[in-house]
Amino acid sequence: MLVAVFGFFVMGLLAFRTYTAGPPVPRLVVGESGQELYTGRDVADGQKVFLANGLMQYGSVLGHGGYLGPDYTADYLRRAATAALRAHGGGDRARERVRQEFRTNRYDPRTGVLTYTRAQADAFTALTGHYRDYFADPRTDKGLRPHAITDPRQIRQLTAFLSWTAWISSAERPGAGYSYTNNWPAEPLVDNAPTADTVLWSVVSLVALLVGIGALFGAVGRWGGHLGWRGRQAETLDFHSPDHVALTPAQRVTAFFFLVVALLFLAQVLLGGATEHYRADLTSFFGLNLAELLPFNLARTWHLQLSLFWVVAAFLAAGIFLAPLMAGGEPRGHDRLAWTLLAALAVVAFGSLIAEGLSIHGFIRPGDFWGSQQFEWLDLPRVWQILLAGGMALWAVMMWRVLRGTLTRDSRGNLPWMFFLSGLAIPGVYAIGLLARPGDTFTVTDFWRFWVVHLWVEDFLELFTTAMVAYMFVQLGVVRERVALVVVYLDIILYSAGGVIGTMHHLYFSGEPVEHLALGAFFSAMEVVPLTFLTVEAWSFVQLGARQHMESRTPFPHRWAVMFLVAVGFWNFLGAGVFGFLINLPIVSYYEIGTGLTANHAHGSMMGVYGMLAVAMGLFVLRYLIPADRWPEKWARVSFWSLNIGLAWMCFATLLPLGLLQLYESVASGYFEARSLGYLTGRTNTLLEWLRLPGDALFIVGGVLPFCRIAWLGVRHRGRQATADPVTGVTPAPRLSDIREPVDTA
Amino acid sequence: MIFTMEAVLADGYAAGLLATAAGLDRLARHVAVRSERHRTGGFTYRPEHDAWVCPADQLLWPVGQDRHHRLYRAKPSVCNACPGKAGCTPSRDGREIVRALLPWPHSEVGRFHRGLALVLVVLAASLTLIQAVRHPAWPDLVLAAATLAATGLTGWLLTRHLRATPAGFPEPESAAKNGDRYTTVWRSES
Repeated sequence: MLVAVFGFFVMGLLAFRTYTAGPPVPRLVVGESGQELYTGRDVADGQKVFLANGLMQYGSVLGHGGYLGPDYTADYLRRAATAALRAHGGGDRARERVRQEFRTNRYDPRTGVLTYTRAQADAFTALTGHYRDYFADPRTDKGLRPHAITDPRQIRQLTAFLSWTAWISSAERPGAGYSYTNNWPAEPLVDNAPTADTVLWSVVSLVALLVGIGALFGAVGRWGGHLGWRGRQAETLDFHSPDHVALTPAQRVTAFFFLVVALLFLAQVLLGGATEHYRADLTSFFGLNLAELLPFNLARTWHLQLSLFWVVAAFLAAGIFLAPLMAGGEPRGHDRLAWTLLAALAVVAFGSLIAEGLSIHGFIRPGDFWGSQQFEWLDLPRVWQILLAGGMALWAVMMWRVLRGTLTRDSRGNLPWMFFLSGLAIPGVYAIGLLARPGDTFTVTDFWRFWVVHLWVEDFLELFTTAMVAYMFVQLGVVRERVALVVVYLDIILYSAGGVIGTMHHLYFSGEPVEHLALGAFFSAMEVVPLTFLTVEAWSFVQLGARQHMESRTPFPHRWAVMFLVAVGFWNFLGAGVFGFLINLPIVSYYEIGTGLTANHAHGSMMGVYGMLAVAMGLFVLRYLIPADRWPEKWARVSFWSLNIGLAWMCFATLLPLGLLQLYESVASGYFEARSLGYLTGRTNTLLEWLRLPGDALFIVGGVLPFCRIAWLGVRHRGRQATADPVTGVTPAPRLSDIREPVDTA
Repeated sequence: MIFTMEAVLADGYAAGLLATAAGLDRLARHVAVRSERHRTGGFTYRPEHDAWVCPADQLLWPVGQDRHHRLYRAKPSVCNACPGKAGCTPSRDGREIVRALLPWPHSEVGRFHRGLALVLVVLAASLTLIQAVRHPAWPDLVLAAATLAATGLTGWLLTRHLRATPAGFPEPESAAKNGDRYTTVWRSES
């Protein structure tokens, strides 16, 4: 509790500093002769134009966004500096003049006016023309729809927004020798190079990581026996055969949840295939001009949105299934609430996807409450975001309805309370994302956005799933409740220590003051410590108890759910831990942000951890919904191997080598060059992109389709084999196992 | 340099994949050892007597075995009088330890790691072959041949390891046949 309070207290301070020490948005930007170039309102509206057109899913600003298009901050900065250099006649003296002009901060905080030099003002005008031609292009060979933006006013606003991000990247923060973005991006023309803080905190966090791992494992070696893992002989439990586990009406509704989950998963990976094809062949989809209907940015928007939707839907469904097991039943009418929730989720999912499509195709006004937002990962427009938070709140109410009796009886430190409280945090922390509004300063919006992307996903969903898995294992007699509780508490303490403040590692270069960089680097390095520990322990956690099933009279029913949990442990270590730490140090992130290694980490952790976890939950629940003699063991096995081999191939054949090469290019040639379309579509990159095809095909055909088939079987049978007792007509309380009475051999 | 840069990078990456594959293979073994250690934590196995010694320095002797397990038990009178009983066992028949002879899931976890290790070997071979086709100059081909030889050797070793790692999941038939180990399967060896 104290650790969590400390973490959120620091986050509160950092939020305060974000508002008070972030880069200013000038009221007015003028040229040297006083002519108006753009206003603060233009910057806000330009950001809305940028988001509404899905450009954050195509390229990026300040390093955040998609990886096919350029980083528009670096793009503007390079083009403006080059134009200024040309205007000053080239050569060393011109170079020095450009450096000075771009680094000098001419913002007057009293009047709110920023003055551009003549060369900067001319560059702004020239670049307005450049972006007009760029976005009005009738061709689709960039992956954008033809004539993506043609309104001159919107082009001017968009250029104003990009110009502002380039200004905060090069103008020195008052009283400091570096820019508002800690000198990001690397750009020799304006003397942008890593700061002393970037190097220092990289070294400190690396040392902290090594010391932390050593100390933790030393402590575990010394006091590990007190954790409750070791030694004690557990009671023998007999599992109920899936056919003999009576299900409640709401539990049976989860069959439909998992069918929706499977179909959303299928749609998500097909869209992933489309986005990947753009990277391998930008101009044509096997002879089809895909960009006219499904431009890259729309495919990627849906790909990311769906990844969250199907994973969260699976977790919510698993919660609905598990709660009656804890409570020994459910209140009357609970199935109707489950149906309502499913309908609400479907409306939000499809409604928001349609709205995003309409927005990217230009049918919806930028910043529209109903139809346009499109921050990366928080793509769904505001109204759908509110509805989703509401849907999750309804789910929390459902959990309370079922569990309230158990919660009143049980101690607050016990597993049902942990399950409920961690579930309650899901809508709560997600709702914080509503503080990111399209018209606010980018630095502020990015701060709140990562409360959802990092804190909600990586900490609170993880905590809830740990509580769920722990409870599943207790129900199955895999572990004793005390061991499960120790794991949940460790999760809370260790993630609170590193994970909460570690959120800041996303915000090294977004315009936050330097303390965000320092704390983010240090605490996110420390986050790897519990990750390593929990991974190693989680393996034991699985194995320790799974052994005990051998003592049951009934065969263990959850072979593939357990194997998917084993895969979660593996990908947690590799995808989240190793691939994550690879890009975590500020000095690496400085050159790497927004490149292929981020995609590598994202796939390894999002699919590897949360995707596999969602499939594990699905198989666990579906095992009770499908009669034992119809259970497709073979398809579960095929799905397990195909998803894991496909993901490993995806990471090792394409994403990792591509990311390493791009990082090398970024350091050796420059960040602008490494993000250019010319580099990305080079021969070696194209070859590596095509090399991904076998893995992707296996993932989709061998991994996702069998899961869809299993989910369909779930709906077809939906647990009808196990209903009321034929003699008494009473539906017994659902239980998965019974404690076997000791045999008296005396 | 006599080699082209791209060939060196591709073959180097392939070598890195082989090293990772070997690491995963080791991991498979490590998990098995670790799992055993956790389950029997605080107890020491004495192979010379085929017995376990508990933290209170009492012996657990073998009392039975089936296809998958070997069961050891301490004397009930000793355990029931032990001050540490509450933290050790709920049984009145003496503390038991089951040594798994064909343990699941770590057998299948090992198979999972070794399966993924082989995927990396296949990928290393594919990359090397593609590189050899793209840069058919003699020095690059020699480098590719060396990498392929290492890939073949690693692949052969890891395939052997995979074959020696059965999933080990107790099939329903055998479990049903086994029934209750206290009454049906566990035979006293004494």
